[in-house]
Amino acid sequence: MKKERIIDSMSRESYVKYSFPSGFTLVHYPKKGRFLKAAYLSVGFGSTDLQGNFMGKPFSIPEGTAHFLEHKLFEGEEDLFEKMSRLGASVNAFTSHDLTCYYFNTPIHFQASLDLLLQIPIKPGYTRPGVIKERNIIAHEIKMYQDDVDYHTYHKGLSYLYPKHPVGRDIAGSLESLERIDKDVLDFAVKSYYVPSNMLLFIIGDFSENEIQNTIETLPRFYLDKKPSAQSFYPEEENDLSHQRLISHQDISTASFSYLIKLPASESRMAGFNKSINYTIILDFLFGEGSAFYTHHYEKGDFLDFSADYSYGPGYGVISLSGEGRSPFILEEAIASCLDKPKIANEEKILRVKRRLMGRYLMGFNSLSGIAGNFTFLHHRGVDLFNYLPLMEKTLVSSDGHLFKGASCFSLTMKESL
Amino acid sequence: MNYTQWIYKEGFTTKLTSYYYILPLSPKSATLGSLLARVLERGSQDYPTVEAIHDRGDELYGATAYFDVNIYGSYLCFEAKLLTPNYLFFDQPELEEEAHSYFQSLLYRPLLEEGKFKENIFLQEKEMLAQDMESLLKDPESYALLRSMELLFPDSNLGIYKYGDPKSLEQLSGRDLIDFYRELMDAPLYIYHHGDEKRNDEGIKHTLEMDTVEVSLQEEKFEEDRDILQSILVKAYRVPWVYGDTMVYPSLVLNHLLGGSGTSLLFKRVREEKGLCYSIYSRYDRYKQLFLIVSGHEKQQHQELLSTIEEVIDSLKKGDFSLEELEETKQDLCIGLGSIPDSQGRHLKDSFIRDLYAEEKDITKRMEEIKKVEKSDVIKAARELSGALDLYVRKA
Repeated sequence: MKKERIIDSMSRESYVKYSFPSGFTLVHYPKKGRFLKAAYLSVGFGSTDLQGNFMGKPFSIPEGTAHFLEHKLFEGEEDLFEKMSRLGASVNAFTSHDLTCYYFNTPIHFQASLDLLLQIPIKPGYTRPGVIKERNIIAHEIKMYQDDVDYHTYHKGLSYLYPKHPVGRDIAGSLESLERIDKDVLDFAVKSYYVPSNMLLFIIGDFSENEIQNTIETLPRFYLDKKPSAQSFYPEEENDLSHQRLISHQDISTASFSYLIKLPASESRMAGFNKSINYTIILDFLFGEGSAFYTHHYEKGDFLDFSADYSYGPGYGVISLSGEGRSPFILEEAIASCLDKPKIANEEKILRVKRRLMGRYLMGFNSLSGIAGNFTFLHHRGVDLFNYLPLMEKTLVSSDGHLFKGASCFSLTMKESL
Repeated sequence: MNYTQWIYKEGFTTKLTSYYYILPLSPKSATLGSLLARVLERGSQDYPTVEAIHDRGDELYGATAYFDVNIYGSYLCFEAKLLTPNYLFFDQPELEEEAHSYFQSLLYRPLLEEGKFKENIFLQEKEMLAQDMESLLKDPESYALLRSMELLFPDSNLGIYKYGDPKSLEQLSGRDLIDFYRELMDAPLYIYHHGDEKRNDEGIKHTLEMDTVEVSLQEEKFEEDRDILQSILVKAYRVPWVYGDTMVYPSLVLNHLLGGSGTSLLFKRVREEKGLCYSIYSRYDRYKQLFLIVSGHEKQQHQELLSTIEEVIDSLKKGDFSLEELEETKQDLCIGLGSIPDSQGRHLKDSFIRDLYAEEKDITKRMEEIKKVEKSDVIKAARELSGALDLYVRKA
C-alpha cells in the first residue's frame, strides 16, 4: 500500500491518499472540529456505461442499469440502508453519467456504519421479485423527472444531439428499458464494474489517527484482491446534424429553453478537464451575469433566468445555454450570433473572472458533502481536486474561431399560443 | 432597534454576514419585499450597473451580496447577506472591510432618481417578478404546496407566499416601493456574523409573538386536474398546540417517525412495501400548527395511497411502534440538531429564528428535550392530529 499526503498551498487543506495494490483507493480528508463524519463509496460505473468488454468478451446492458443497481445494492445479506440508519447514519446514494456513489454521514458509530457501507458490492442480496417491484418505483421516479419542464427540455435536446452515445438517454433509463433489467443483468454489472480498481472510498471529518488506522486494517478482503474490470466503449457519434428547433407544448406561462452545442470529445481525461476550465471562463465572460449579453437581454425582459454550462465525459462534451423566459426565439438568434463571432479579448475581465473562481474554489472547502462530491467526481476522471487552482491560473483563454463549432439544437417547451 | 451577534467558529474558509429586517406581514408587504430584493441587486450609487456589481464582486474574490425575503411565522423578514472568502487565506485581510463597504453600498445607497428607485428598473423587475410568480406553478409539487396554503389559510397571513401575489404586484407603484424601503430601514434588525472573530453581542433583542392560528374542525377535500404525468397528494393535519408548547418536541418526533426520513413508516409502507410512489414525506410546521404529507403517485393508485396513509396514522395513534424505533428517531433528531453548526447558513438562520420568537437556542438543551420524549407523548400527539385538507392534483 502506498501512502501520500497531498497539500493545497492556498487553502492549506490536505488529505492522505492510500493506494492499494488491488487498485483500490482510500482517501482520508481531515476536517477538524466538525460534528459529522462522512464516508463516500463510489464506483466508476454510471448511466453511460452500457457497452464494453469484460474478460475478452463484448457485452451490452440496458439503459438505466447503473441507477437500478443504486436502488438495489443496499439490500445485502441484510438491509444495509436500514441497519446504517438505525445506527444513526443519514444514508443516501446517487448515480451520474459516469459514477455511482453510496454515502452516509454520522457523528456516532462511524466505523460500524462504514463496515456496512463496505459490504455493498460484496454480497448483493436483491431477489428476482424485489427487482420486479423496484421497476415500479423507478417508473414513478422517471415520470417525476418528466414532469420537470426544465429537465424535459434539456434532455430532449441532448437526445437529439446524441442519438447513439448514452449521454443522450435518461440516467434512470426508460419505461421500456426497465423491463429488460433483471437480476442477471444486475449481477453481471456488479461483477464487471464493482471491482477494487474502479472504486474509491473517501472519508471526511474529525478522525483520530487510530480511527484511520483501524479503518485501513479492517478493510474487507474484497478490496485488497485484484479483480478483472470491464472496459466501457462509447459509440462513435455523427457530427453532421443540422441545427434543429425542437418544440414541445405544455400549458406553462414562460417557455423553458436549452440551446445545446455538441463539441468534439476530448482525447484524454486531463485534456477534458483543461477544456472544462477554459470553457468555464469563456462562458462566464460571454454569458455570465455580468456579461453584456446577460445584461442586455435581461433588461429587455427576454429571459427570467439564464445560465451557461459546459459538461463533459468519455465520448462527449456539450455546452448548454438554458433558462426560461418569454422571448425564446429572440434568444435563440442572439445566442447563435454571439457564438458565431465570440469576442474574448478583454484580458482585464478574464483576470477578474479567474479571481472570482479562485475565491469560489476556496469557498468550496466548507461543506463536507461539497468537498466529497467534487473530489469523487474528479477522481473518477483521473484528476486531483487540488489541481484545479494551478490549472485554472495557467489557463490561457483560447479565443480561436472553432470554440463553438459543432452540431447544435434549440429545445424549448412552451404554450401553444406563445 | 438593532441586535448584533458574532458566532465564532474555526475551520471555515468563508465568512457570512446576515441581516434580518422584521416587518408586519401582508400580501402587499411580501410582494414589496420580493420586489425590493430584486431592485437592490440591480445597482447602487457606487455600482450603478449589474456589470459594475459583478466586476467588484470578482475583484473581491467572488464576494456575493444578495437579498431575499422569507416568512417566519406571521412576520415578513427581509434578508440581506454577504458571503466572502476568509481573506486571510489570500494574505489580504484589508479586503474584508472593502467587502462590507460593497455590501453596504448595495443595501444603503440604492440607485435613486427623483427620490424613487429608477423607473425603468422598477418596471423591469415588476414584470420579472410577475413572470417568476407564474413560473413557480410549473412544478407540480410546488404548485400543490402553494395551493394547499391558500386553501388552508384563506383569510390569514399564514397563507401568504413569501414572494407575495400577482394581484398585489399589479397595484404597486414606484412610490410604494420607496416608502417600503424607508419603512424597512426603521424596522427591527438582527445582524449575525459567522467567522473567526470573538466579539460580544451588541444591542437589544426584540422578541415577537405569533398570530393565533384558527383551527377548523372539518377536513376539506379538493381535486384539480393538471397536465402532468404524476398526480400529487397533499394531506394536511392540524394540531392544537402553539410553537412554544411542550408538545412541540413530541410533534417533532412524531413527524420524523411518520415521514421525516428514509426509514420512516410512510416511506417503508408506501414506497418500499407497496411500491406506490417514488417520493413521500411529511413535514411539521410549529408556527402553522400543521403536519403535511406530500406524495407523487399514479392516479389509479390514489385510493390505495390514501388508505395506506390512514393505516400508518392509525398505527401511530395506537402506539404500534417499538421503543427501539422511538429511540432511533430521537437519535436522528438529535444528530440533526448537532449538525447545525457544521453549516454557516443553517447556524445563522437557526440563531435568528430562535431569537425572533425567544425559543430555546442552546442546541444541547434542545437535544435534552428530544431525549425526554416518551412513547405516550408521541401517541398523544398522533391522537390530536385532525384532518384539515386533502388536496389531490390529478393527472388530467
